[in-house]
Amino acid sequence: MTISELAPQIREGKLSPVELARETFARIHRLQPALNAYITVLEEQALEQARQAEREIRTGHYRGPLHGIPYAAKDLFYTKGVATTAGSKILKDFVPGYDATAIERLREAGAVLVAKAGLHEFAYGITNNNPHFGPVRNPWDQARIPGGSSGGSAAALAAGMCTFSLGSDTGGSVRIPASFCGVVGLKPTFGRISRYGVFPLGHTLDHVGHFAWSVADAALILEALAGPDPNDDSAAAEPPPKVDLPADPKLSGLRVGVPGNYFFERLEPDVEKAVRAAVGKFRDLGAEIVEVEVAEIEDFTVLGRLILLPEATSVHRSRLKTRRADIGADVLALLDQGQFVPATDYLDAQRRRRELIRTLNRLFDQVNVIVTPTTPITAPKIGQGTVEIGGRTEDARLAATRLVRALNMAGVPTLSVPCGLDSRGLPIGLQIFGRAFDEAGVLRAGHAYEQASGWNRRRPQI
Amino acid sequence: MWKTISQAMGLTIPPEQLEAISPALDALWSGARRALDRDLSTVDPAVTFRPELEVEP
Repeated sequence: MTISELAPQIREGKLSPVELARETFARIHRLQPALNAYITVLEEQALEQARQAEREIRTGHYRGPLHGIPYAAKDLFYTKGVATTAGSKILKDFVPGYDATAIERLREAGAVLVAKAGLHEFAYGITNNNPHFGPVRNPWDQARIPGGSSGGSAAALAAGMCTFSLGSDTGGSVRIPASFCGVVGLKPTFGRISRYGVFPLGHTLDHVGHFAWSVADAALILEALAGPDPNDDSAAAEPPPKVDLPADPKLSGLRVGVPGNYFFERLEPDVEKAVRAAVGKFRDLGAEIVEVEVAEIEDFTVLGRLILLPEATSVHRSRLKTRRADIGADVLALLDQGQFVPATDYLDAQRRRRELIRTLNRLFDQVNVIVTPTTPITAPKIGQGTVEIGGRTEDARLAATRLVRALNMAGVPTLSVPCGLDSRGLPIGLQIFGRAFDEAGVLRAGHAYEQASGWNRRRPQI
Repeated sequence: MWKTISQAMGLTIPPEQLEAISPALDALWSGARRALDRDLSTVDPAVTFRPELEVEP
């Protein structure tokens, strides 16, 4: 069930948070051996939090829609007294002395942390094929990856091992697993949610995001997480958004941009068919469809990698010198590549980044949101290094990040919602993005589409 | 080329690892050079940036 369905029952005392937590742990115990979605399960602590929630609600201290709701956090969110590994052998025994701001805010909202979720090592990759903690498996097909780097968070939610989950997105790490696992994923505007206590990957690209079963749930979670934070210089001053999602899924007056360039090139045929059908659904809902061109977007995907490489290497510089043998081969290769990017090129890439933001801001004078596929492919198999699209072979990591990475450069709010299944029964994601800090507009468009299409109600048979 | 750069920078990347990452570096730079090949001297780098404030100069 979604948060929106559970919360009224909890508020009215019809559903016990303790019973909900117990049901969640029963599912975790059944599915964790197959999926390996979690690194640390926090049963005792979570049941105590659930009991506290129940006491508070019974005595009239209901905190809001997340009160008593079980969630999981990617294992790079600092949790006081609980190991936070960042998916790394090097940090396997690291126990933070404080909570990340996101964790603290969810505690204040009364949410119950049930587990720390698996991730690609140091959040630097899209497979979640972690050499230290084992691969996370996709609940739609356990031979396939869940996407990453927040793959454990997405897989756990898709399998019902929590009711929502936290992730982080530096080059698509929320949206890719949302697409591959058939759940809703939101990467808000850069600075919208504090990154304090979140193990970094790329300082100018990292965003905190989250996964949910519906757009309405994603909006509720955003309201709890967003807002200024004196502990994080990059956190914006804007107050949390109030997102009003109408029950009637009409989009009259909304102008929806559909790129004529780049975003619809080299797609798996089932992905293109599903996304074109989604565009048709927006038209049916009353939106005006406008073809747009996002100028030089391919450059920004390349430059996003050029910026991330030295930023990540800077984060791990000392480990690269002293702990090479303890870093997985794929992450080590990227960290080594980051040593070759000159400061002049890094700074010029940051200069061109401003051009991208201006280009997008001009487009948002013409349209309210832009829709594209989230990923050009559905989930590859575990260990599959390349994919075939239209007779061309492409590196799986580059293919998965091809349509998402530039939007980390732009910092704009971006949502992935399920929009179909391919011929193998694997989920397909639709990406919706809008002007900076217009999460409300992006969520309204996604909510209307979701209400009309119903794709988010599909669950994996597991 | 990457071997020369690595030596000049004093990096301690094992030769087989350097060989393994060289194709990726070649591919990255073929795209990046094209993307950076313009006069950007009047634009400040966005090392900290606020997307909502970005407007035409």
